[in-house]
Amino acid sequence: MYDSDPIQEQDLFSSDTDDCEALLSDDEASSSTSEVDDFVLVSSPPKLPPAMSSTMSFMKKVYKEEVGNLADDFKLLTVGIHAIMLQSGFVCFDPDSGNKIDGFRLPNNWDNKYSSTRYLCYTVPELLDLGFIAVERVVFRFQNSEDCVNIHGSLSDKESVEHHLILNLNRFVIPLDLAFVNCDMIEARIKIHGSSSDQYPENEIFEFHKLVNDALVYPLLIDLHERAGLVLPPCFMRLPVEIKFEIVELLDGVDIARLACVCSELRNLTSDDDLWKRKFIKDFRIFQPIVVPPLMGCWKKFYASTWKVSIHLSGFSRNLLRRS
Amino acid sequence: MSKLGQAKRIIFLKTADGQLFEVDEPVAMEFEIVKSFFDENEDAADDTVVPLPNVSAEPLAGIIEFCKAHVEFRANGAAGKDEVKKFNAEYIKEKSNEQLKELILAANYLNIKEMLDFLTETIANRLKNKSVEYVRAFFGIENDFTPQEEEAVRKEYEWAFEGVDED
Repeated sequence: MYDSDPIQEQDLFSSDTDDCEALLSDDEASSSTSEVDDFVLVSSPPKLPPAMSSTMSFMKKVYKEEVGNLADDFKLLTVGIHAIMLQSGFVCFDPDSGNKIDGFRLPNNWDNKYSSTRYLCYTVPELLDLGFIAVERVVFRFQNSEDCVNIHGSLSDKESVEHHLILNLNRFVIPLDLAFVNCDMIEARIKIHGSSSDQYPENEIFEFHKLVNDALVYPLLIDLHERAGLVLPPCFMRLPVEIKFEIVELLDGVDIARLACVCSELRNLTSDDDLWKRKFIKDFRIFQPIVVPPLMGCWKKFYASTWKVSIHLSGFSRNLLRRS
Repeated sequence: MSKLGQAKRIIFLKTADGQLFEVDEPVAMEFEIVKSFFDENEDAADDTVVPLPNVSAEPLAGIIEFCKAHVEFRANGAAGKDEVKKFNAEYIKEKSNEQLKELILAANYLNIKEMLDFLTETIANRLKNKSVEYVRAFFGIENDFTPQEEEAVRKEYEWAFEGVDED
């Protein structure tokens, strides 16, 4: 009864579903006819994509503590990063006293410095509980230029890898302000413009959240855990071995080879000779009629030597040889 | 349309962090773990709360969003069409690697085949043409090789280290 023609569907529902329409707002009824049958939403549709809503409410709490204190755009952006750090399990602390900053606040003396560079220190609660002042920490250095904030984050010692991120103030300040500080303005905007997703600052907040997490928060969390000898946060390696196999099966030989150098488990996972046989057949199918298949147990080497031959051919002919 | 008059059954799911989700039955039944819970407890009351001790609220919300859309696609006969690809691409675009990891762990625990296939493919795509260091950092994998072992394994696979995307 579900025909692919949308007009027919509309007709079907308008004549047939009176008792159900009451459950739906006009918006839903027109945008997604299929919901009418079996899949009516339990409650009114969330204003946010669901995965993001807990993040949004957390960030809002953090902003609430700093409200009235948000002197400038730079600070507004910094509080956003601070919120994402806290949400990921970091705690902010005062490097001089070694004390944790309570609640969601930034340290009091944070923006007293008359300099364009400011610092924040974070660690994880497990380390702070040990009670050392010289606790392993992550230091953020914020540099404010005209329309950008440049954030450098690294462990406190000099040799450690520095991660950085440049954020454009013009892009993120207004969405952050609308979402977390002048929230009543956004409600007014929604009333005027309806619920089109363009009117939501959340889309930019997503982007902000993702940029900060991928460029700073997760790499630093990993660095800090490694340095302090703590168990790493939940990760890829916790997946069951079948799933890792499935992922490996989807990769080309060259990616599998790099994966083998990541850690011992992946090295073992990728050393299966049958895997390399399958990859040879997939990646170098055209060579098959002209090569003598190697003995069992030698497919990995055979793949490597065929790769080397193929890489010496021009890019053009290599692309022809490899099934893309 | 015979089902229309019937009340829709809602399944209650409780996450590890104590949040209660109300999910439409066809969506919840996408989760093998929930389905087998009700298969094994046939006389479970309608308001039974299914505990999900290995899943927290954020990935579960993402999974419900995905399954709900896919249940609808199937009902519409849109499975396998461009509409689905477009939804999947949009869905994954806004997920960080960390969220992706959380999703795949949760989808694996809940045992949702379709979503798991999609996520493994996404992870494979994100691993393509990346350096060893990138893979370690972004998937939180500890380098447990001794320097000698690492040298040996890199030598074995040295043919693969040309033109790696460093970011």
